[in-house]
Amino acid sequence: MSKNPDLEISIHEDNGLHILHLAGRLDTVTSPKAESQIIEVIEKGETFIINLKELVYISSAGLRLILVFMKRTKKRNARMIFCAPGEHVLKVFEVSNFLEFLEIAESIEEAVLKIRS
Amino acid sequence: MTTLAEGSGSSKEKALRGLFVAGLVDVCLTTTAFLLSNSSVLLADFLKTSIELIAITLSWVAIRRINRGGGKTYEYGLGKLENISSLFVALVMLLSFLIITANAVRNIITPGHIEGIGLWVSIGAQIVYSGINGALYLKNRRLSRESPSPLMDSQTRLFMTRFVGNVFILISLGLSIAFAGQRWASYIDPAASLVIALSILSATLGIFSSSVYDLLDRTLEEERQIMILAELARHFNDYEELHGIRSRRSGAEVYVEIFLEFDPEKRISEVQQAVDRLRKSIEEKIQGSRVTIAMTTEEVA
Repeated sequence: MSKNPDLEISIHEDNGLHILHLAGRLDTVTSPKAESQIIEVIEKGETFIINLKELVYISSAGLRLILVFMKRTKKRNARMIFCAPGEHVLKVFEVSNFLEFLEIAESIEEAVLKIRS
Repeated sequence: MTTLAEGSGSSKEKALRGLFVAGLVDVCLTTTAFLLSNSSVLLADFLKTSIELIAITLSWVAIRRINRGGGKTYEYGLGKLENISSLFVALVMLLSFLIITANAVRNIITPGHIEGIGLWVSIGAQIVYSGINGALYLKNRRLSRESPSPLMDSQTRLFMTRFVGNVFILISLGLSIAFAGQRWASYIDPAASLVIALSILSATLGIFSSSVYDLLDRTLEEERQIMILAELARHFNDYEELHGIRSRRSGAEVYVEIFLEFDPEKRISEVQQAVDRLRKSIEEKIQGSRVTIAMTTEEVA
């Protein structure tokens, strides 16, 4: 588990499936560190679940990061599912048109099922 | 596109020239009225119309410079010149506020009845102007209801404010003249001029804060950053990778640079179309923005 000032990132791997838990705030302060850590994981795997259950805030810097992740996964023909976003995060995804290309699941279990099916 | 921009600039210049002439007539009238009377309200009215004329003149000069163009000097525009002009107007307004307030306080301490032919010049002018501004207010309100837009709303508010101002001065002068025999009536004129001074102060603070804020080169507000990302999301399939976004506000202008990687298999005409689509959509969403999209395969800090 790695710790940013206001963001905690924990990464688990299970049979090639990478599950990343983001807790706290994804903003201008926390996103540079998060970018390097998550990109490193994305470069290795093919299936990813990003658990946003404990992500309480996302700013434009966080959105930019997600756009970069999605582009990287698409380029590598990999798959990334975002699960359990809170009300604020979901609203930001909605107003920023991100729901047009993000794959969202309500829980980790649902995301795992989607990937396994 | 260039022709349209020039056409719109030229019509703006024409409109401002018309406003300048109207403002000049207004200043001549208020100067005459003020010089031929001892009214604090007419001093305030003279200063208020003079400020409006200065603001119109500065806007006219700025628009003329924009229309003549920078050409060989590769100008980015006159955003800062406009802000500095606004700050100058704000300083003149502040000075006017102080003059009106000082004069009103002096007249409250040593009250006296207002007199002079200037009062009747002003009453005549206020009747004519309240008729014109009232009619323009009603016309703009009707147009605003038929096709609502921020521009029509601001025009409606402008003429309503002017109409209220004319009526206010008319009532103030009328009451002062009607009750000239009463001791309390000598306070109407300085009190009314203080109301005008406060309205000038309120407008000054608004201009001052927005101009100082706009003068600082800074990154864009969060709302606009999200607007840019929303357009990048909308055109998600048009590019391969996002390598960076830079944004800066300078005066009223907003500069956005986006660094994208495109599929090397795509034809240059397809890439050009994708770039144009994205650029146009962001420029439409963010008022006053100039978007540059650079092609790169490397991360941009």
